[in-house]
Amino acid sequence: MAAGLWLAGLGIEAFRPRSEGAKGRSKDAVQKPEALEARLKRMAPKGIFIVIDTGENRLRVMSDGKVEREVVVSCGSGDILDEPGGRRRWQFDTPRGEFEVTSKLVNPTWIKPDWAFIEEGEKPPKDFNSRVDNDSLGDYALGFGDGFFIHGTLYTRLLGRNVTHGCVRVGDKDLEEVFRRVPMGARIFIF
Amino acid sequence: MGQKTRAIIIAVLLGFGGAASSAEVGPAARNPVMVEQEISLAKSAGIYAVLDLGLKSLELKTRGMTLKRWEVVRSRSWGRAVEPRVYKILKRSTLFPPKRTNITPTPGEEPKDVELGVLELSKMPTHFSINFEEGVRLKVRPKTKNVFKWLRNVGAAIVWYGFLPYKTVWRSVSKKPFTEIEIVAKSEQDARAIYWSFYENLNAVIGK
Repeated sequence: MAAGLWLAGLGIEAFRPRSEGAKGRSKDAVQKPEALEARLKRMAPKGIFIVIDTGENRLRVMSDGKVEREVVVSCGSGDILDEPGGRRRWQFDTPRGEFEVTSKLVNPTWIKPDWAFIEEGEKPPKDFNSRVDNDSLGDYALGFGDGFFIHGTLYTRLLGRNVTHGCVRVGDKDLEEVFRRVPMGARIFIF
Repeated sequence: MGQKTRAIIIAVLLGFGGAASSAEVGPAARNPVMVEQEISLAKSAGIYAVLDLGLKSLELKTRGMTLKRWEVVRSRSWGRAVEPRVYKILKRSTLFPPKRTNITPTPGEEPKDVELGVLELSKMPTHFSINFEEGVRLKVRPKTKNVFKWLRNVGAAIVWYGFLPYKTVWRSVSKKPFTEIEIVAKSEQDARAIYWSFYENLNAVIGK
């Protein structure tokens, strides 16, 4: 019985039609392939933009599709932090998708969020000044997404590893080059 | 039916089955239907994937530009022929999925040693499946010279030819068509990068 079913399965597969036409093709499908490829090529990002590879921890400054500069960075660790008492949870991933540079800061100040205290077993302070940190973000920062930054780091030995809380850390010299080259509004593609 | 006749039938069917399930993929011009489908994704912001079984390539792209490309050493498919169109990733699955580390708050601690566990590329699996809409499943495994991993690949082949015929019968009876595609990545590093880059809800154009 089992052998019979197995043979039946093989038979069904062997004689299955191999056509792969798309149902309900649009009229565009009759366009020449070259025209379609040209149309696709025109959609490619132009000018200066950033591509971040979170797996390899690499940031590339691109110009009209060509790599201008590639630097080693640190991206999100993927770790999870649960607030004692179970009210809030943070997952430290660098977000993926398409973004744009929404701010450019010199000598950025980090206003430490609650998780930065909870992670060290401390209670988040009510006093705003206790949250101010002028050292951790380095000399420059480029903001994107919902509160994420490309910024400097004190932990240069960890560049190339996935260790951050979601932001993208860059070494000082590379960060200055990236900051000077990439304008406000530039696209950032993260995968 | 004599034993000799039975053996001939099995050999013939295996021959057909082998040919059908080890789809030869060679270089080909890009299918214009696939390009058209890709244009529909490239129009909007975001990242998408293109698996071109004809060109033996798997790419992560945005707005028509390739972000990352992996070579598909070889591929085979089983089941309903995959219609070249957009499919959304529903789920990834693997025997031992990588686990996120739960941070234990510790007063005044220095940044933790990374060796204790962060989610990195090196921890991603090399053998896994990606389930798409419409019953399409993509299995990925790497080309390898490691003996144990090679044995695992042999096991995968046994599952392919041993299990899928039964699934075919079951799905035919229950009228739930499916498509299984298996690709071999160039290396374990490539396989890990594919697992890392292909996440739930990502759109992909699959076809030949």
